[in-house]
Amino acid sequence: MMSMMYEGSIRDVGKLLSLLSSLLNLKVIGLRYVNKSLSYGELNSIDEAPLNVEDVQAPSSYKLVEEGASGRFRHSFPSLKYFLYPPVQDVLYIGRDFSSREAKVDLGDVALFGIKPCDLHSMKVFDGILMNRDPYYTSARSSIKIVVVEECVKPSKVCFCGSLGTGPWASDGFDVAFARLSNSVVFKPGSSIGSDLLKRLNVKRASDETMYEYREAMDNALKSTKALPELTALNNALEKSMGSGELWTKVSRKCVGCSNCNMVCPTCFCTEFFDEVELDESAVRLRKWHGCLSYSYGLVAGGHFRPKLYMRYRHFILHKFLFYPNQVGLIGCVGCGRCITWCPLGVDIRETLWEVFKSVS
Amino acid sequence: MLAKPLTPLLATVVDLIDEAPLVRTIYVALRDFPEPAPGQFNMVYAKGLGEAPISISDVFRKGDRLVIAHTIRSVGAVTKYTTCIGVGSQIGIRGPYGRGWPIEEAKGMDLLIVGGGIGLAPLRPIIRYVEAHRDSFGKLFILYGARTPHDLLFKSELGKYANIPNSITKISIDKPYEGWTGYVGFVTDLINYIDLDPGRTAAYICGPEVMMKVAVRRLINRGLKPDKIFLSLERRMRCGMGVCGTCQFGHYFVCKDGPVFSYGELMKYLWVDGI
Ligand SMILES: Cc1cc2nc3c(=O)[nH]c(=O)nc-3n(C[C@H](O)[C@H](O)[C@H](O)COP(=O)(O)OP(=O)(O)OC[C@H]3O[C@@H](n4cnc5c(N)ncnc54)[C@H](O)[C@@H]3O)c2cc1C
Ligand code: SF4
Ligand code: FES
Repeated sequence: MMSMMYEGSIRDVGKLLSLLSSLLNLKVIGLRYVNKSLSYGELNSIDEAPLNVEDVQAPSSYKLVEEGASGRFRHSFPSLKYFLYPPVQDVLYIGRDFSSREAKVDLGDVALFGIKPCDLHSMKVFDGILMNRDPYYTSARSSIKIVVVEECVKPSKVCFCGSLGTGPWASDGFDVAFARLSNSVVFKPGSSIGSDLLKRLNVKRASDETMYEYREAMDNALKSTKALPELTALNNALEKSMGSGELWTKVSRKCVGCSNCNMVCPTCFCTEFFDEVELDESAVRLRKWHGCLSYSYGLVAGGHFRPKLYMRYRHFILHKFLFYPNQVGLIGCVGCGRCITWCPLGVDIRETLWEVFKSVS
Repeated sequence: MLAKPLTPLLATVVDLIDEAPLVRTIYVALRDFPEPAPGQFNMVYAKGLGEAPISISDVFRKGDRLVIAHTIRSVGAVTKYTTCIGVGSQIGIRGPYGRGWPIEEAKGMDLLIVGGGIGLAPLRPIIRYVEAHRDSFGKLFILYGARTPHDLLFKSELGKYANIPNSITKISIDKPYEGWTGYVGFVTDLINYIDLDPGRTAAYICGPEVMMKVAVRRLINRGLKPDKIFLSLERRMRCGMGVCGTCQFGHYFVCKDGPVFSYGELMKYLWVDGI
């Protein structure tokens, strides 16, 4: 929160969006709220952004409300991976004669608009695993030229980014961040292009009162999203818990292994490959998301590497907190809370972590 | 590397050897394929069926082509497909993948090879390597076990291992079998029958995971150091190159961080069921 900040109005947010396409010639991608439904796609104007709707989230419950909405939209089940690493993707086309051609990903030049700090952070985690290793992700990711983030003045009940340092504000990896306060919008540049864009908006330097309101809002948002044990102690506890099948059986008792959490998690990247054979004997090699909670994930001829459900649930948790730091230098959970909302049983990862923490510390 | 990492190269089958019931070695010839190191594997592709990770059980040059052997047990879609092909058939191959056996590092040491069943396949390139560089290593112990005499791999070759200078080969089968005069019991028992110098021995193990665990325990009891015991892990692999995530074992991606690991690297996870 160090750089110079500006203030303007919601109209400036709209202008910013227009500049991205008119000045920079970018395709503006974000969540669209059109005809009462939400989806990732091209935002043609600010009117399509979900600015006047609220997502009311709780364990196993999601509702979009317009009436009496605070206008504080956080997120829905599609995270950025819908766009960067789609649920099903062509990989190869294999001809009848076995000739092959790799599928191409060409998204054009893109600006991401209005993404949340937690989702911004999830891109760093994805980068650590896939960038320069997976050709399709690398190409999709490289198409992103500008990132505009909306900081969270009012987190939802499932948000816990404050425990992980991944929200409620954005610290790096963006071009412009904005936050909607009671009567104004504050803007923060995150790059030199971001600064240039803001200069074209005629926004003014944020007044002391506005800065005060902004800091207070962020402070409150941070407090409301601190929901985990202290991270070093939590890590030690998870490390110690690893071999206790009994404890993990207990904490996973509600889980049914449906893998919804994997699908909505912005950092779950596992996939499986398969062939679709055409009538002319050519084949399309596809890949689709696969989740470690589902039974078939570790299934092999003559056995299973994680036969019991608690093993699969444990992997989900340990991967985020213990294994990702080894793999990419970052905790793999960004605290968005999607897994809590979209779990049909309302399994709450915050409770799981507390339960493990208390049992072994 | 980013060019076409998921595209299989078309390979022609040049030879086939039926090794044991349901096990067949398929030799394919490839141009412009990187020379695999002992312990690495390829993704073998059968159109319409999918891919399976298969260890490289032998490599040699023939003219401008590299001939690579895959010794495959038929258990499912892709592996069964490979039993119904013949010389001249074409299959897809991409690779080689993974971190293989550290052999150079063991120069001057005694080598112990412990293989169970199909697990001898990825170990065979070590034996080849030692034969080619015999003076660089001390003693060579080869312990190999299969369920029945029929299930032993590389039968015509096994007898010849005894001719490698300064080496001992011991073979076991699980249960008594008519005509079998060798050892009966688990291959890991054979560890008790060899004269190991724990301070100067490096061990290379591949087989079913339970067998590898027993071998590790025995070798640790015999005084081998955890960072001198190497095992090749098997996990479900869908990409072979660190992107699909499904081969994870603790924080490792078995496909790219392994499949070969030292016991020292695995200690934390190996005894945790279903990690
Ligand atoms: C690094 C490595 C090296 C291997 N080397 C050999 C070898 O040299 N010879 C050999 O016979 N087998 C080897 N295997 C095991 C072999 O990969 C499986 O038997 C094979 O994948 C089965 O595929 P399928 O399509 O015939 O079976 P299906 O059961 O039809 O396969 C369904 C899916 O499960 C996967 N799968 C099934 N069984 C296994 C398994 N045991 N391990 C990993 N994935 C599995 C397949 O790849 C496929 O994607 C190796 C496995 C690994 C991980
Ligand atoms: S988790 Fe944090 S950053 Fe993400 S939507 Fe909730 S408050 Fe915003
Ligand atoms: S096999 Fe895909 S990551 Fe290892």
